[in-house]
Amino acid sequence: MIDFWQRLAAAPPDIPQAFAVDPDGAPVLLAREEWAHIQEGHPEMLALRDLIIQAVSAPDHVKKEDPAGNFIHYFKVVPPKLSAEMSARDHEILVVVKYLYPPEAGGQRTGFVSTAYSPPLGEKR
Amino acid sequence: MYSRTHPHPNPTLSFEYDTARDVLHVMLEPYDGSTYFLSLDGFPDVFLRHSDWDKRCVGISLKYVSRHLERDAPTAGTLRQLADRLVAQHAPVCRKAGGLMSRRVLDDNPAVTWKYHAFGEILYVNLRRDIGHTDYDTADDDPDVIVRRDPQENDRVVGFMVERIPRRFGTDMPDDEALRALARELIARYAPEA
Repeated sequence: MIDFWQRLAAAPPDIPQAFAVDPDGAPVLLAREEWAHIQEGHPEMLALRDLIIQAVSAPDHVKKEDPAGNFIHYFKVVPPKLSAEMSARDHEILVVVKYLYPPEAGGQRTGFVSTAYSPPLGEKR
Repeated sequence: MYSRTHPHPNPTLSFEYDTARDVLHVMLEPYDGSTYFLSLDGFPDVFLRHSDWDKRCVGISLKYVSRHLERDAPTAGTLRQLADRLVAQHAPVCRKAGGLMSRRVLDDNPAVTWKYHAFGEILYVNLRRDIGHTDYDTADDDPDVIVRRDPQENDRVVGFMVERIPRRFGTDMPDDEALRALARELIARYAPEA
């Protein structure tokens, strides 16, 4: 079975690929170009990439950034062993998803990962 | 506010003047999805307009139209001439442009760079070439400012992220100079030695 990251690596750089369904049932997408941007700015996310999928599909905590829910922050606690490799603090990952109603998706509510990084636990909640 | 889409003899082109914002938008193709704007390096008032879906460049926009034309209330004919000039000068760049801004050097130190991620509405400022793993501390007096510290280097400040840039500046087309000024302000406050 091909996992999402293999599928993304083989996809055109600019076409977003669905990788999860959020708790409200909306698909969430990520493009290769965006993933490259995340890795460049937040290199710790390479080792934590599978947590991105878990954060969106089964988050530990969710924070709406605006009443309409155009930006939603999904949090997932980083396991202690992986967290210890970053610093002495406990960490979680924060996946920022921007929701749009693109004509390419038939006007349906669709999420796009805009960034992901690993703040200390509770820092951004 | 007056905002109207004008036809163009080339059927794939259209242009619209937003009087309230004094911005001319030229679409290089018909596109009705949502978009974001990236400034064009070296042309401070010119922005490339990108599709949110696949980040392709679908248009060109120009801020401060009245200043460029040296007149208020420009006619449709004048706007069309300006639209044609924008297309002639920048359409080739638009058609080849990626959807992300490349890092730009802030001032004299080539290691200190900034980048505006317009889709995510975040300004990134790096104080060294390879940012590496960092911790992220939210500024006490500004929840949109995140100070990045290197835990391997005694928590030295190595960069910043500033979220919700359109809300901060009241526009989704922030001037490069405003972003640069914000970056300098953060450096002066948190990392004056950089």
